[in-house]
Amino acid sequence: MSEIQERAVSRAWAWLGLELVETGEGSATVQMTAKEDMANHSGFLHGGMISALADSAMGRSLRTVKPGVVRAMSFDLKVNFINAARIGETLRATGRVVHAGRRTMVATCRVVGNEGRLIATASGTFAVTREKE
Amino acid sequence: MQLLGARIAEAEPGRVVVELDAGPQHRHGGGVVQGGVITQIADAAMGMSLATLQEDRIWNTTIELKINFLRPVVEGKLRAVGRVVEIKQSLLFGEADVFDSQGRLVATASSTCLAVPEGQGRE
Repeated sequence: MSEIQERAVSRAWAWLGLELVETGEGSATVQMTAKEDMANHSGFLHGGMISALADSAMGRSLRTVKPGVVRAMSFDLKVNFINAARIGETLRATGRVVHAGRRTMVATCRVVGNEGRLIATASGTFAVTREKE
Repeated sequence: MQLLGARIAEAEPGRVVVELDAGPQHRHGGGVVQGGVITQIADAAMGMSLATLQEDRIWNTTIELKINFLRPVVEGKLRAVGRVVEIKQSLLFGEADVFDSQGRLVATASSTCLAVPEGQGRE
């Protein structure tokens, strides 16, 4: 993957304000600050935004394993919403690969808010196309 | 648990390990351990790990569970390690990893449980 592609952010990432914080071997941390227009009826951060953040962090974590992932598509996403997140709060989602198969990969994710408060946990299954070894 | 031959191998606050010696009686027609068997020990490990942090005489019941099966198992000792993610007033969140006899990750699960007073829902 070229450096430009590596750095390029999708339209959705830009729209949600997702930022890559760090990557490790099999892990990636993505950050998002809850904006006013992301609120639900209760005035807290909408769960769909948290889901998108978790999905993105897990998707990004897949790209840190070798042999590389050319293409990844989520086909299953589960989220547990544990604590409400406030508008203005910065959330950090850390995705971790737990299974790296040839055709499918499985990742889990923890989303934390200010002071390390657990906001959500998630897991996902991804259909992947991997580079030849 | 008894029917399956599973047992509690370790228990401490917030963490419970359930073990099962998988054999031919646990396999389906495809020759590998049936997913429901793995789900059963993961569910038990999660439920019991949550119970270790609940008040006396309060138990819990699973209201939602998700599992990913990562590799097939034919036989050998299966270890389901359940742990607490968070406990709210009435909702309890748990996770479990299931390992085979060689310590390889076989399945990962997560669940939400509801706190219930002892004896309730058994009539």
